[in-house]
Amino acid sequence: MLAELLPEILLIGAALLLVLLQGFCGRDACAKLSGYISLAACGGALLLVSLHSGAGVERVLIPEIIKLDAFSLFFKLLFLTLSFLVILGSLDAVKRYRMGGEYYTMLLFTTFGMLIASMAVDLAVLYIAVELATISTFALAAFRKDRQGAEAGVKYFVIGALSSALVLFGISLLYGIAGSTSLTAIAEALGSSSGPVASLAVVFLIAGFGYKIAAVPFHMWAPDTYQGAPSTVTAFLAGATKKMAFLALMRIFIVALPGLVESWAMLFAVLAVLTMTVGNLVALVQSNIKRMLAYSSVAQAGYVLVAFAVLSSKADLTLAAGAALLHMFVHAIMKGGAFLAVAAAGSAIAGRDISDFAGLGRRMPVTAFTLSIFLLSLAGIPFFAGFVSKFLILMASVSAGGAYIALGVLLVINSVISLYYYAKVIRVMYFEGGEVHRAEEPVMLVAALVVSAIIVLYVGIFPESAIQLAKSSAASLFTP
Amino acid sequence: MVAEYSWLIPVFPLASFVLILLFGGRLREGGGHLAVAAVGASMLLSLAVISHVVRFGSYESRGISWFGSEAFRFGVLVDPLSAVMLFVVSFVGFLIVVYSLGYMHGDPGVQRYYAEISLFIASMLSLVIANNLVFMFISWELVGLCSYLLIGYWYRKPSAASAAKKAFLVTRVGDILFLAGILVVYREFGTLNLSEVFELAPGVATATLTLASLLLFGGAVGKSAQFPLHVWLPDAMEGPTTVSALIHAATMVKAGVYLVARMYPLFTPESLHVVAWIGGITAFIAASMAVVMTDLKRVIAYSTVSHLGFMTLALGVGGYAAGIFHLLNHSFFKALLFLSAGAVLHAVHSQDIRDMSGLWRRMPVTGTAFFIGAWSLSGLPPWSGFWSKDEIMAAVHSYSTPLFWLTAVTALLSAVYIWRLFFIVFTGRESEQAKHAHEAPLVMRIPLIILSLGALFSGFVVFAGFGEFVQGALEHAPEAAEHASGSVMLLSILLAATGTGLAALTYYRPVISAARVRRALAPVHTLLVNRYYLDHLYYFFATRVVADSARALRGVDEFIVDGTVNGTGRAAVCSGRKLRLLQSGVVQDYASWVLAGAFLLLVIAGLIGGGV
Amino acid sequence: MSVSEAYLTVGIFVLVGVLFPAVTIFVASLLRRPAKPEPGKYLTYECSVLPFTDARIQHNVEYYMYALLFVLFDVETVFLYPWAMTYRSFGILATAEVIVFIGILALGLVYAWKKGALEWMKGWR
Repeated sequence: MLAELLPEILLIGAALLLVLLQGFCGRDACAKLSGYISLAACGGALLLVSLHSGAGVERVLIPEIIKLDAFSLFFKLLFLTLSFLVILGSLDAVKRYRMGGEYYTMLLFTTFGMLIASMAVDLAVLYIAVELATISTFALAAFRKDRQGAEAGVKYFVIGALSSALVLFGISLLYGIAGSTSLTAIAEALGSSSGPVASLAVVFLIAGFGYKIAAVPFHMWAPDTYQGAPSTVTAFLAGATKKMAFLALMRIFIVALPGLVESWAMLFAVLAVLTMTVGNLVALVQSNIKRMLAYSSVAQAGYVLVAFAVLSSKADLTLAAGAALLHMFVHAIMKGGAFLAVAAAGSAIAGRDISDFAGLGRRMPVTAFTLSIFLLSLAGIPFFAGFVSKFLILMASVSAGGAYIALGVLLVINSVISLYYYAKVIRVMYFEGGEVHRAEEPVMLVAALVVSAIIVLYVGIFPESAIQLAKSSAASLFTP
Repeated sequence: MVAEYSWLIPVFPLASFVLILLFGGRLREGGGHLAVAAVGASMLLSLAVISHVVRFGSYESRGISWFGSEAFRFGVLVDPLSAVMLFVVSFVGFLIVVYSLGYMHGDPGVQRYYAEISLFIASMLSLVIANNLVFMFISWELVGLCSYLLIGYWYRKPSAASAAKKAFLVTRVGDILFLAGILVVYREFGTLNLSEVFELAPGVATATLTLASLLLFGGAVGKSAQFPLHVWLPDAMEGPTTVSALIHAATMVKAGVYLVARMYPLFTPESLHVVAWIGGITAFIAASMAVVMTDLKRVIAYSTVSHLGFMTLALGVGGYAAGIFHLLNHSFFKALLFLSAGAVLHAVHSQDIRDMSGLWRRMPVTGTAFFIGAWSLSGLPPWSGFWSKDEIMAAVHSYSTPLFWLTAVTALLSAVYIWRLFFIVFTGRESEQAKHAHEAPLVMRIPLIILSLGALFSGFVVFAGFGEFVQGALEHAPEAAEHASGSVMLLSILLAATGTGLAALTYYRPVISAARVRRALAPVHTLLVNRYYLDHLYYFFATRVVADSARALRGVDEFIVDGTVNGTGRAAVCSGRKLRLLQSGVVQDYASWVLAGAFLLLVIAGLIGGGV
Repeated sequence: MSVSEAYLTVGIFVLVGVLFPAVTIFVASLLRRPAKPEPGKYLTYECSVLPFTDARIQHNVEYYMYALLFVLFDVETVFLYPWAMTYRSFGILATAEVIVFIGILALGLVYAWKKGALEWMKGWR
């Protein structure tokens, strides 16, 4: 059992070591050392997980509590990749803003929580893992010690606490019905009956996790927090922690509540419509790039919700779930990359308004070029990863037929709208701004950007293996 | 076999796009010569492929599949239809890029210009040779993007920026319909490969075909600026004139017509009826507006819309070959008109025809070129415009009488507006601006001369079996419309001559006073000058309905919720004390939204779950 | 016990919870002294010292530090007590887990200590 948990042990060990380290060395040196230690830990864990995923076997580590399957391996891959990229990028940002080594500790704790959450098949364990990850991100969101940083942290925290309460309430209702917090036990106890209490539980769970995925109308905190938090942290929030809530939703609803699929899929459909539309329309009128990307995150969450809604159809469920998984992965990389690019631009540009990015194409060519790749991918332009995953979602909804097609069409209309605000940034970067001087680009951030861009392009051009991985990972969710 | 290499056709300009983007800054003319070489290479290869098609018939490659999905098997299809289009795009494209060397000389952003124009030609070529609807759609979107970028090429000019936005948004309406059409096709046919779709088409229910074909036609309406989405094209004239000539006259706007022709097997008599009427209406209203416009490029732009309407009309009434024939001819004479107009603007530095007069003496080559273009366009024999217009009129004549008279009036108007333009600009007393005009440089004159030859003689291909050749693209070709019957031909000549005469009597030897006519028909004139008020209607819709709803949503999100913070927050700049109070209030609002959302979900769950 | 019975208990609890303060306040209002307002009576009572600012002031952050550490060890006790009562039956594994648990808390304490969280008002000296 310990062998399978080696990545987690590595991470938590490194995190605890960092806690100790902070007390015994000077601030800047310590931050640097912590950065390298956490990068090594994360890289090691990533290596271990990718070795595992080659084996592709399902292992029950603690019966009814922790299970390692293809689904959890997929998410581990996602979380660790993003953490790795964010830590890599942070090596520059932490130095620039003189943030302490605690920054990395928090990142590692969050990653650890997310890894546990990916394996949890018990509501209580899932909840605790999610909370561990979330509470650490509260501290991360407030890391900028100024007015905006405080605003980001407080808003995130208060709404987060409220949502945790909602989730907990939902869990307690399920426990009340089934007498157990194990997902399979709940599925057995519930069968296909859908009593009012179960519906209530569904509503609270969706509302609670809806906060973390920033679904409309639970999304209010997101723009403020994404704007106020350091850009590297925002990359992490938008890229990774949001996906943890999707993970929890999928695990809970598909494994524990398959009998109520009609009602929860309907709720997801409503949320999907609201989330896509509001997210995109509001993003259209944003002038601050981080807020724009935040609303774009909201909209992209809506696309994933479309795939969730399709789960109630009679069509190929692994296609829908696989499409959702792939879009999460792709979105993590491209949105994470976009925020990291904003962080990189921050080394030369003070403002965060889109107009401040004028001439970035000549000023910081690599940053601007990779940012353009991420934006085009977000817009769903072919030969970028975003197109592949969005197209899979569309395929799932179209092949499901009936009213699901309407969701697909809405998705298409929305991505058409979204192209406008993504393209606007590219235009500003390349076609505006007068004479500018070349600025030095932060090395580590650029490395992270290039790696992310390569992933986006690779998945966009050779999508077969990624689709295969996502589908087989999704399939493991449907086999008891 | 040369056709096997036809996939290389769009690769050359694509490579030039990448190279210019990366290194154009270090090359002379921003990489213009590179673009010329690449497009030239494409043209030579295209000509070779076309001659292959002429001799041996259509070529289709199986293509390569993308992520293992048969829907994404991208290959090449070159049949007579795409051969014609391929010729137009590569040949006219090449001439225009050459012309650009002179026209864009000294512009600070030429690198961007050549990069974008290379990308445009690459995507336009791939649109033409695509054998798969998705591949077509991707190229379709790319040409739209390039059009947006190039219209807004002088982005510092607010009118250019807003014209670019307008073009982008309006064509988007069509694009969505196109995409919806593709989805319908995919659901019904289970494939997006063109040949497979055509094979299966006869077995599909008529209603479905009508729906699919009308949705696809919706895409064409947006791209080819058909009524009611024609409003973007005249504004698109804010871009450089070369762009207008290439994208908004010769190639991209033809993509819609091409799409209809390409998907012709899917069109049922019902949907063709719609196509015909839309085409006829477009042709008429655009021609009527062209008569009153005073901006040189806009007149030509409305004329383009009108002629696109002719082509659509021709396809709609079953004159398949006639439509394609007109497409070919129009590309020559319209590109010619635009390029000579460009030479005029280059010399006069104004777009208003009231500033121009008597330019003939200073610019004889340009004048001659314009004269040839106008002659061809007006439909006077014996040049190209005459032959194709004649075939269209013949096809319409056997289809519907009201539509025929509408076409006849339009033909008359065509002659009026183009000769009006010619007489005002080139004849009469030399205006102040004209005194400083000078002939265009050689690199601009040569393309003009070649295009003139095309505009003069491209009509004669009809005697070389053009019609039969193009009909070969269709499995079940509609009966080729009979060649112009004597009476129709006579009427057509008569109309063109009358139009020319009217224009000459008004603007060359002012027997008729334009001002008096204008006064007599004041309400009509106002209506036309205001472009039938359609732009106003759309503007109202766009600003009031769409933008307001976006703003209202932001209002809910930011004004009501955040406004309290930001507004007051700014006033209380650094007062942490106040901010703390405000913030707690705001978060409460957020929390209320969370609870309201939960309640909403509860209500919905109650509605579907039955009793919460 | 069926679900509805379980929720009956909850229902009664809610009812009592709502009624208790309501009844208390009502009874208190019956017993109150005559209302004779004067400014002095509306002042905040602060250990007989006259209040001189708004009650909404920023407290020294070290209060929170102490509170946090207090909660930390409070929770530790909550976990340790039941373990101590049953550790014989749980065996060596439970002991190891508790040691890890205490170890992690100790780590936190060391961190807080080295960062100076235990020094009172160090910024004022």
